[in-house]
Amino acid sequence: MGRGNLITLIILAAVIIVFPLLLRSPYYLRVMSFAGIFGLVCIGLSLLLGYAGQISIGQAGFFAIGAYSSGILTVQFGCSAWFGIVVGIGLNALTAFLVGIPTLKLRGHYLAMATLGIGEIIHIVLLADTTDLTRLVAWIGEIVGYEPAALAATLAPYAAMTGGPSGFGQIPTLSIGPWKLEEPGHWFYCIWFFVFVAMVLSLNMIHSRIGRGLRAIHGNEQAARAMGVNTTPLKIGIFMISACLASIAGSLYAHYVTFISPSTFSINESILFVVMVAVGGMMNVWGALAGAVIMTVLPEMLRFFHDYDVLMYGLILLFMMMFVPNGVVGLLQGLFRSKNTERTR
Amino acid sequence: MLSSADILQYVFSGITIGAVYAMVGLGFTMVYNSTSIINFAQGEFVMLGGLFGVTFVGALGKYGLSPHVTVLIAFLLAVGATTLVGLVMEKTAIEPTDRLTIFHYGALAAISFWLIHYVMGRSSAVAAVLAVLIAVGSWFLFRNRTIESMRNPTVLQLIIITLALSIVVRGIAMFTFGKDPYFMDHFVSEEPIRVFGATLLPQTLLVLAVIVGVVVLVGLFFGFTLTGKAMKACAFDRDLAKLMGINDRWMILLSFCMSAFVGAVAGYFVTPITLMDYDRGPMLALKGFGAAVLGGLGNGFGAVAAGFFLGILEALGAGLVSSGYKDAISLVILLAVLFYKPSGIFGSAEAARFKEF
Repeated sequence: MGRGNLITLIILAAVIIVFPLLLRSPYYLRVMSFAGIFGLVCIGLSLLLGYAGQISIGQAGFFAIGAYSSGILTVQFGCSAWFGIVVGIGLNALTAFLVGIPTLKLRGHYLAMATLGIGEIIHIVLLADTTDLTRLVAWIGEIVGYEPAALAATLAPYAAMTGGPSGFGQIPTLSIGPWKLEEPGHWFYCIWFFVFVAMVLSLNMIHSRIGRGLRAIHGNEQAARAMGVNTTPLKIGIFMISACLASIAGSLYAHYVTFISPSTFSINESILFVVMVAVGGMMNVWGALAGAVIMTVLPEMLRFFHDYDVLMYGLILLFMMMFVPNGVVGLLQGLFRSKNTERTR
Repeated sequence: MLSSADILQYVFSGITIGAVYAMVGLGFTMVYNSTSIINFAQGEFVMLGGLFGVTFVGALGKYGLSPHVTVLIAFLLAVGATTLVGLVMEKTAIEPTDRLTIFHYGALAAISFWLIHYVMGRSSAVAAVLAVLIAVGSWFLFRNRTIESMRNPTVLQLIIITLALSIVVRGIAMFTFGKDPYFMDHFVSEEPIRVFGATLLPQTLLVLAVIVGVVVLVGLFFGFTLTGKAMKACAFDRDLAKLMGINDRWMILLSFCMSAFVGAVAGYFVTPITLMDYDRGPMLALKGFGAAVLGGLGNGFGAVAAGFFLGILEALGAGLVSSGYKDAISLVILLAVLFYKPSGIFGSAEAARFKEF
């Protein structure tokens, strides 16, 4: 995975371990925990954006599937939280697979729009309350000739599970063996442990045959195919991985916040993920992590950000894409590189 | 059970919203053909057309003109203003350039003014002076610098730029117009016409007439004018067109302005029926894209036909199934089309495979 990355990983591990010891304020730990959750989504998105050259504007939908799988399974069925996380991953992999097959075969902007559509559909389904679902069931029942009232009656309790527009709460917190995660510090370690593992795995993957194949796709898909890279399965695979990472983040979010509602998983959230990756740097997984941290901490520091957040995100995204397309990390790398080359001269 | 009059009623309401999808789809097609990018800000043009329209109609109301003259002048102003927004968008963010132009400095001054005046709360005079100073200062700093990143932007970069533009336009609209939906009086009589037991608003007929007019005009433009033919040549093969002496940058600019124009026309005429608020853009863009794909991406008339089709299907779905899932219907159709026939109803499979990313 390269010496530079190994050193950076060790530094990351050290920072993760030391941070809660130095800053005991639960507020900072909370902000950084959220940064970690978003970072997990962004690592997946950057694999897709920076390495496969495909954009997804529906990550909030995958994030939502993870969160709702965990939430519903633990609250309604009393399952273990870890089981909820695994089911979320499975559901997301399946969704990504089904969406990815038709759209990733095509070139063009199909994936962008298809993911935007999937994100919106998931949002609409979560927003819909019991009456909407009952009417849909009744309509399907009428067509297939089934007794609609009976079907609606059996399905009604399931419809109420998502809680409609107001969502639901009282999601139990995660527990590792006999320990329950309750302190902010514990949560910080748990979330960043996931981030660290995701980081190690992604870096390994990027520096393998798969990663080189992906870079080749980004460069020129036809050329990659001519060189024997099997492009479609690679693209679908990376799309599924990004959806799974978003799912894990969503599950962690649900157990951490213990309350979820559809407003958290709107199209704006998907765009925010793209902004985070763009700010940090699309061509680098480190950039995704940096972007997630910057874009979570910055609004906390700048007061006026909250009233104008959407416009601010737009302006930042526009500025970064026009003038700093490689992001903050790309900029820093460029600075270091030019210094090094000057020295060797 | 539903009567045929009920179904006809849903079809009528579907026509209105379908007209908007048709125009957004047509706009997508124009920009896609000339630049091979999908302009995510397409839906915002409809929103701007409607909201500018409401504003100008309100402002002109003071002068005591006859209602029809007011509507006409407000139409020209609203569509003109929206087209201008499209032009500024293209000039500042889309056009490949290696120098900062007057548009960049202007945008910088405008953003600085907004930040200082509205966000930081200084007086408008102070903000204006500071904004001009910032713009002039940055001109002094950057006048001889080349901007590498915008010299040859990648398609991915351009897509994210249009996404950002749509957020910026929406954000500005939210602060200018507020979050509440806007009303506008019908341009013609509000007395509904009875057709086979269903009622039809005269405004719906007006919308239809205008849309047909726009489509015919666009068709004439592409078929019979030199500029239109040059744009078609650019869509076919950009490099070849350039070799034949066609100014491709001018064609891209024109396609942006024209797509803003058709969006604004649709927005202006449907606002009396559907109302308009700042947040309409993304959903309209998504469904307009659905229309564009369904019609075969790159095929303008296919997009228009598919737009009406989607609108009517959506209205039927809302009436027959559930209005809660209204928006999901066209999205499911979009995904189904991507799955089964990505080349669209009117497009060839060849076309879909050879579109470049």
